[in-house]
Amino acid sequence: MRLEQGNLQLVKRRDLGYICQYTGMTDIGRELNRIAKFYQIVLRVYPAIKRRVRKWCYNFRKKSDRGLDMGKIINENQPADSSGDRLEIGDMVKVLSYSQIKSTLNDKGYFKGLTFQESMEKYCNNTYEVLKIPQYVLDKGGRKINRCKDVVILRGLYCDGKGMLLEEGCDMCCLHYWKTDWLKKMV
Amino acid sequence: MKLLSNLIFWKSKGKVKFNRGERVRISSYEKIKETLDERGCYEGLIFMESMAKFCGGDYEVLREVKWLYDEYSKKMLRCKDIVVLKDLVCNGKGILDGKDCDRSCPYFWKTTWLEKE
Repeated sequence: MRLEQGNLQLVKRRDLGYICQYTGMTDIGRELNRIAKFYQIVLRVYPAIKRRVRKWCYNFRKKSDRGLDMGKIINENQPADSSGDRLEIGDMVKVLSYSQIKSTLNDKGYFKGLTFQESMEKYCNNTYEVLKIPQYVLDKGGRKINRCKDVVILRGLYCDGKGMLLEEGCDMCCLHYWKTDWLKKMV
Repeated sequence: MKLLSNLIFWKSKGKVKFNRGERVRISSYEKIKETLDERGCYEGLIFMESMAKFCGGDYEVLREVKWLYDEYSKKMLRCKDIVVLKDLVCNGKGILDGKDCDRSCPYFWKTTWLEKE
C-alpha cells in the first residue's frame, strides 16, 4: 500500500535537501566507467541465463503436472509452525529451521512479497532480539513510502551483500527483514 | 579474474584506514559541523540531526563501504572514505512528515568524522 499524499510532500521536501542518507545515495557514490559497466554486465550474464533456464524448467514442469490437485499442494506449503503471537520491541524470538522456512516460500523464494536470502540461512535455529517492527518504510531511494505488515527487524542481523557482484558485493549493511511466520516467540 | 576485477574496479591497495572490529571515536559535533556545506553534506553525504547524539562516543567498525546499490537507478555505485559502525542505525523519527520511517538503515560515517583510538 502506498501513501500518495505522503509521496507528494516528500517530493516537496526533497527540493530543499535530502531528508536522510538513503535518499541522497546517488550523490555519495560515483557511477562506474564504461569498461567497468561492461564487465559488470558480463558478470551478470551467467546468473541471468541460469535464472531463465530454471524458470523455463519450472513452467515446463507446471504444464506437465496439470492433472495434479493444486489445492493440496498449496495447503502443504503453509507455514508449519506459525507463532501467531504479537511481537513487541525487545522480545526474544527464535528463527525457525531452514526447512520450515523453505516450505513457506514460493518458486521465486518469496513469502508474502518478502524474499528469503541465502545469507539469512546461517541465522536459522538461533535466538535474537526484536529491534523494530516496521510499519512505514522508504523505498526506491526515497521516492516512495511503503507500508509493511507482519515484518520485524532483528538486532545485529546485517546483510553481507554477497551476490550483488561476483566478488565485490554490496557494503550497505542493511538489516534483514523477517516475516513473523518465520519466528517463534521465546517465553 | 580477481586481478582483472582489481584493475577495472580501482580497488584501493593497502589504503584501508579502518578495519572491521576496530574501535573508533566519533569527533565532536562542532568539529563535524565545520566540515559540512550549506546543505549539511560532506562530499555528498548528509550528516543527519539524529546522528549528533553519537558524537564523542566510542564504537566498533562494522564495515568499510566501497560499493553501494542505488535502488532508484538500480545501479552499483563506487564510493570511498565511508564506514558503517556497529549498532548505529537510523531511528527515522519524523522523517515521513510526522510519521517515523522504520527502515532502520545503518548510518554512514565519513572517515574524516572519526578518530582512531
